[in-house]
Amino acid sequence: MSADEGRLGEMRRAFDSAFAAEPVAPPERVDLIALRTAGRPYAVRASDVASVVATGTVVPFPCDEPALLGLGAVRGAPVPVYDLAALLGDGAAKAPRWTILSHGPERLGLAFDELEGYLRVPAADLAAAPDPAAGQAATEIVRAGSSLRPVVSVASLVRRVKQRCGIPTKER
Amino acid sequence: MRRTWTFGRKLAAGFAAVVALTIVIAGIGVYGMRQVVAEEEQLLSRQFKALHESEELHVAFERKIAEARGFFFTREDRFLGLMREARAQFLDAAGRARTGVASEEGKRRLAEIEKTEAEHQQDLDRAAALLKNKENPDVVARMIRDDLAPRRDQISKRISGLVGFEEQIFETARARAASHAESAQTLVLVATAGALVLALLLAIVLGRGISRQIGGAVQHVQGSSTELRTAATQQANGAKEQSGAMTEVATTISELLATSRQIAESARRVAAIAEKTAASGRSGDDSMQSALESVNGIKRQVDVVVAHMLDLGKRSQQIGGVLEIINELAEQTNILAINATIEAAGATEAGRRFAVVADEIRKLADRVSGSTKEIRGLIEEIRAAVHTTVMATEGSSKAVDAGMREFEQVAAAFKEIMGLVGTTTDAAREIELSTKQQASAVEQVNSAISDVAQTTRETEASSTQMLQTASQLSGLATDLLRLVQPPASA
Repeated sequence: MSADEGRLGEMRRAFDSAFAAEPVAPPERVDLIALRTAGRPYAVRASDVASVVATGTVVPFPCDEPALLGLGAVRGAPVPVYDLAALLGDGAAKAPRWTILSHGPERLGLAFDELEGYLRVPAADLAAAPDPAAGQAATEIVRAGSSLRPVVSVASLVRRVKQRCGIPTKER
Repeated sequence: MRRTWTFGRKLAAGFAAVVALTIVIAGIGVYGMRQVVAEEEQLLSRQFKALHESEELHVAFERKIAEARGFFFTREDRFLGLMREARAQFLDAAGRARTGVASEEGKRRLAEIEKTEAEHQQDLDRAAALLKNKENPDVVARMIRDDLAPRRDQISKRISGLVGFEEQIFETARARAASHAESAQTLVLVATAGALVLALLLAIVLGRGISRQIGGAVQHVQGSSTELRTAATQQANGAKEQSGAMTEVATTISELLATSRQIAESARRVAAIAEKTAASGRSGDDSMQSALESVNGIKRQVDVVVAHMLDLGKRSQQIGGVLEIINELAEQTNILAINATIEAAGATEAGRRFAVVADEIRKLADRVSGSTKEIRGLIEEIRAAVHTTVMATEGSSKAVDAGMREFEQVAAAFKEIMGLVGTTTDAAREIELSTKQQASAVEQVNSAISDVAQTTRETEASSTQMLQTASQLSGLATDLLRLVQPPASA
């Protein structure tokens, strides 16, 4: 039996067991979206994200905010798209192909370079950042495999943007 | 003395000269002695005769005086006759004395004696006549005393003088004869001494000449023998060296002969191998043509492979394009699944079941994405391999082209080699033939060298013999030189 056939069988068994098993409550786990922008790895909580969309066409918009890339369109609604790397202080993204949308009625998009995957890690793997970096937006770090990556708080970034733009924030 | 004369002629001439000189000396001596003897005999005979005749005069005169004295004493005529007989004897003696006396002085003295005797005879005859006439004896006595006696004494004195004169002449003649004899003796002695000196000089000259010539000849012979010995030694050494060289040459010739035979054998083998090579070459030429066709086929196959590989590359690129689509679809599916998961997170029970489905869809999308990545990697590897293969195939095609060209060059070279092999075969046969001829010539040379070596050994032997002969000749020359010259001068 070759390695590919074993791997294929494992995939089939996992797929079949997904239908055979009783739906159970998800364990105490945290869903994270792993991404990379400006060459640095980050993660965001899936609960902080409304959706992940392709960046699409972004129309530049004159503004004093250097991180603002412009206005994009998501399902017919204009959304301001910001450069996540610029907001985190890492400089400009190389090719922001993907954009994550924040929750709420005043949604904004955070564009980044590469979507590295969807992580579901035990909550114990999350820890407070000993030295908050990336403009005080990365307050946690997560152990993913053998590496550590900062977990960016989308809500904190949204508040910071609104503060820069003079938009009053609404506490939910 | 001529140098061309032989020693026998020189010795004969020397002895002849000595004999001639001896004969001359003997002739001179005989002549001188005969002359002396003849003169002496003549002189002595004459002088003796003159002396004898003078003595006869004295005897005859004394007898006449005695006979006269007998007459005077006896007066007998017998005494007169005896006196006349004595006087005739006297005159006869005087006549003989005139023939005997040679000198003028003697003749004068004899003439005076005869004159005085004639006067005495006259006086005596007169006295006898007186006495016979019986004259006075005193007159006769006085006459005897005054005339006869002085005349008698005068005659006796003159006869004595004549005798003395003749004796003196005789002594003078004898002394002259003795002087002549002595002169002749001296002459003979001088001639003898001269002959001795001449003989000695002749002996010295002959000896020196002979010694010088013999010595020169002996020295020349000695020098020649030394040169001959040196030449013989050199010839012997040269003959030895030549003999050694001939031996080495003979050895070398033998080795050369063996080598020539080996070369002939090798040439024959080379010719045989060359013939086999030519046959193999012809076979190889056919193989070359077949190989050339095979290489052409390989080239065509390589071109086909290159075309297929290029097509494979294109297909790989197409697969890559499709894979990009698949990856894009997987990514979009993943995005949709992520969004579905996010949407289902805050939903109800049905939403949670949807979340499960969405999660599975996301996992599938992840796996598809991962598999797509693997496929992409594999496709990239395939494309790289195809590219490498294409490059290698193109290189192979180029190598095949180069190989074709080289193969054609090899074929041309092979044909040239074939031609050269033919030439080599002919050359090897010529070498074989030439080497056989060379071996035959070398055998002849070897035979000639053997003859030369034999001649050289004989020359060496004769040189040794000549050396011994030269040594003996040198020894003989030394002995001969020692015989003809003193050791100090030799």
